[in-house]
Amino acid sequence: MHQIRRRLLKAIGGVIPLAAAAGAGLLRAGNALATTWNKTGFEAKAAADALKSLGVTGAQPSKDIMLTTPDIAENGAQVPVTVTSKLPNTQSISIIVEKNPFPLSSTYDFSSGADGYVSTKLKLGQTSNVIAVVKADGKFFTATKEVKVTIGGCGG
Amino acid sequence: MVRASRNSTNLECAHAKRSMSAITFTARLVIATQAALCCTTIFSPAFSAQSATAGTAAPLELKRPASVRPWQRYKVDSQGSSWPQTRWSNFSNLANAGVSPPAHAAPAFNLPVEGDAERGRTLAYDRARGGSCVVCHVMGKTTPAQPGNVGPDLSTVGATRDDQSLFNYVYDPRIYNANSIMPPWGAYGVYRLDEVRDIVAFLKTLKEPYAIADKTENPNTRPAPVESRDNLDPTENPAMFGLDSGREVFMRKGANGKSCASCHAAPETAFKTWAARMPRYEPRLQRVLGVEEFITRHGRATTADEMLMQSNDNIAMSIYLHNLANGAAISPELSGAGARAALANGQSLMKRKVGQLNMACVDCHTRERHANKWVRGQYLVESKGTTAHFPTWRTSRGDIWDIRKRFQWCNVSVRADELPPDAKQYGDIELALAALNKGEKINSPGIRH
Repeated sequence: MHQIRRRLLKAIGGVIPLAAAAGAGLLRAGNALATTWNKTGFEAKAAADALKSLGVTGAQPSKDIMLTTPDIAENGAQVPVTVTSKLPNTQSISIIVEKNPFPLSSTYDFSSGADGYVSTKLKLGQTSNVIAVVKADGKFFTATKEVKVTIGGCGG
Repeated sequence: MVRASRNSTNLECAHAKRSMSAITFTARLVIATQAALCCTTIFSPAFSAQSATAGTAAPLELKRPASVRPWQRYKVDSQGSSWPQTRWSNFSNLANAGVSPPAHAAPAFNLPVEGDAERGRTLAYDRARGGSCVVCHVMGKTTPAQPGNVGPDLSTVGATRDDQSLFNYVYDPRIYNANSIMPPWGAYGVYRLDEVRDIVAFLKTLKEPYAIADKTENPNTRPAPVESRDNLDPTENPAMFGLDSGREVFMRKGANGKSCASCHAAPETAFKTWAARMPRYEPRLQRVLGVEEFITRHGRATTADEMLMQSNDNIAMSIYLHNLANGAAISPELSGAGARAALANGQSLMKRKVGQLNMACVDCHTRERHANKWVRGQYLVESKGTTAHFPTWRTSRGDIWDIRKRFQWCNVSVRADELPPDAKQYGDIELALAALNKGEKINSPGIRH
């Protein structure tokens, strides 16, 4: 796996402008890659509005969603978050960071029977609840976990 | 099939697994993001030499400094994290002992101490002023998130101490405890006298015990961080780009047409344990030479390439050479009068109180003192077990640091003027740390907070 990744990295290592574009928010991955870009959702400034944009009503917490995060993130700039959905017919996974300026971080659409699994790194501005929203068989389910962001000592 | 929509404000990197289509897309995201993180950090120049085996005297340029002169403190790291710019020349540092004022009693003050308790609370909880009290103490029911536990819980201090001792303790704790880790807040001018009074006024209000129920909030039950990332996975550790750069620098021809490879045809064999035997006492310099300074001096003497310490080329080479020694046990040469004297000096420097915060390495990083405790949300690690991963990617800084830059940052964090990376004192401390870490396996590049 390691070797494959290294080759991949080498192969695409030159695509720095792409990264710059993505960092600046110019590269709307959604436009190119997702069926629909959830503009309202990604621009929503409150978690409730983000949920509404996803069409979530009356979502139930589900034990079939495993939301894995550190209890305390050493660095809010890159918090590893993994969502595994064991719900049958998982159609999408969205991740919401309640206290971020733009709470909806990402949505992943699954089709062709893909396993409901996402592993990513998110930016957390401060200690916050992270909510995984899973759409399965037309219904919404959630899992929530608080992630504390480390507050530094004297220096760092 | 997986399609991903991501909010660019939250985007760091992503990898979805178990779905080939997802891997292709997300791998690209990872690469793009990581490339962005790294492209400004590390790029490649060359050098050469003789054998890397012990005993042979490698050519070294011996006269010029190995780092920038005049040395100037960093303003920012490569990704923009800032460095404090205050000069602290009126306090001791690792080069100058005896500069900091000795312990002294507070100037006369009125009893009872009167001040603005609310303002005192703000000062006690405010991170901007020397980290503030909460960095080390739990302080009553209004304690903000993630208090530390280097010092005692002060939730009832107002019921147990009188005004005079509270004032003196905040002004200069050494009046009561000569070796206290607590900074002399008043005596060293972090807080003005009126601010000390306000803090004391606040302390006097603390009379109720406060048990923090949340296990991760309570510093006495908060679990110690565990480093479990795969530091050699380039999708995890941006410093892995330095490894590729280092290999390129090794192969690249220097100003005289030679490369490192001209003399070291089989680096994988030649350097299998080399970095693990560094730093070492160098008789020609009469001080300790670490990997990074060696790169500078050996490069100058062989390929005529200039790779100043902490330059991108130097760090890349350091990563490459350390990485070649991965798995090798740290085994510094400690015999010989020069090495023994350097080691003793390094150990002594680690006990020297430096800076406006008046702290020594051993205060925070030995279990006899305060290691394995919390300063706010950060865990103080012991010196043992903390050197084998350098150079290392610092996630909190977005930069690759060699061990000397880590020393510089420690100095600045306790508000002591740092030294140039090739300072003799840093060499001595590096040797003392290598002695402490003897037997630990090199595992570089690392990734840490």
